[in-house]
Amino acid sequence: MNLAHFIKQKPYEHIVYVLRRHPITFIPTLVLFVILLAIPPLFYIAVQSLWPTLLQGDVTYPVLILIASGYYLFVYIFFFTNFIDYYLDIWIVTNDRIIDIEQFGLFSRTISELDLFRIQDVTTDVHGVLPTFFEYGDVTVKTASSNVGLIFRQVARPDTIRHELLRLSHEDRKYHYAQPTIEDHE
Amino acid sequence: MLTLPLALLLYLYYAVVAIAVIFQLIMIYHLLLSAATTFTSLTVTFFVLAATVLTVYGTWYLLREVNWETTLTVFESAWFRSSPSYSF
Repeated sequence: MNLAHFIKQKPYEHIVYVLRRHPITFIPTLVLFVILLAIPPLFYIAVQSLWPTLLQGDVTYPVLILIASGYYLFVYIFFFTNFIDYYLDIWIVTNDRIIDIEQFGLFSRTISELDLFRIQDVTTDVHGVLPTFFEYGDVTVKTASSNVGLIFRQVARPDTIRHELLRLSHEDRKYHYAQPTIEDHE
Repeated sequence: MLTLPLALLLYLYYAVVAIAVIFQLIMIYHLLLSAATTFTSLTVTFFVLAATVLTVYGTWYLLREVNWETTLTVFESAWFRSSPSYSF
């Protein structure tokens, strides 16, 4: 399935941006993954130095190998689940609307849409040392009809995105308000 | 005395492998369904699948000569029967 099919792209619509969280936000998961991978070898070194005969037992050897192997399989699942959680948070900006797809774990996802011409306010929030240095942050989009809007979380170049959203919104508004209304037909 | 055949642990391990495979299939399905088949996602998927295959293969290689008929003593009353001896 391609993205156009996934968002049910309209004939006059084209995708301008596909945004995801900044890759640096995934680094804590990577570091944790490496630490979790390192635990069995460290345990092995400790066992070899403290109880060298433990790994030669007819029962303890297969038991420890099976436990370590099962542990690794769960660590891979943990890593893959976190990657899916990170990678499937997507914000798609077209020339007509914004589609916000947020994945929560493996079995929960929310998808919401917002028409560009309804955008009233776009706010960026770059907060902290890393976001300032690596230029990423939140972009909050609000409409006139509701105070609750969409939030692009931890996306790269939030200021550029804010400018682009306002420009696209302005263009879309011109298009929508140029459309003949029912009263015009009468 | 309560003993378990070592093969029981092997069956438990098979269950863990099955769970890992099912989860990985679900995640690949998510990626396909969300049109997220990019170079990054393919690389991560390949890495996880390759790591899983290597882990299972490594486990089989290390345990290929194990006698699974061996029994594992889980509980033995003699552990509690012997009285401790103290020497002063």
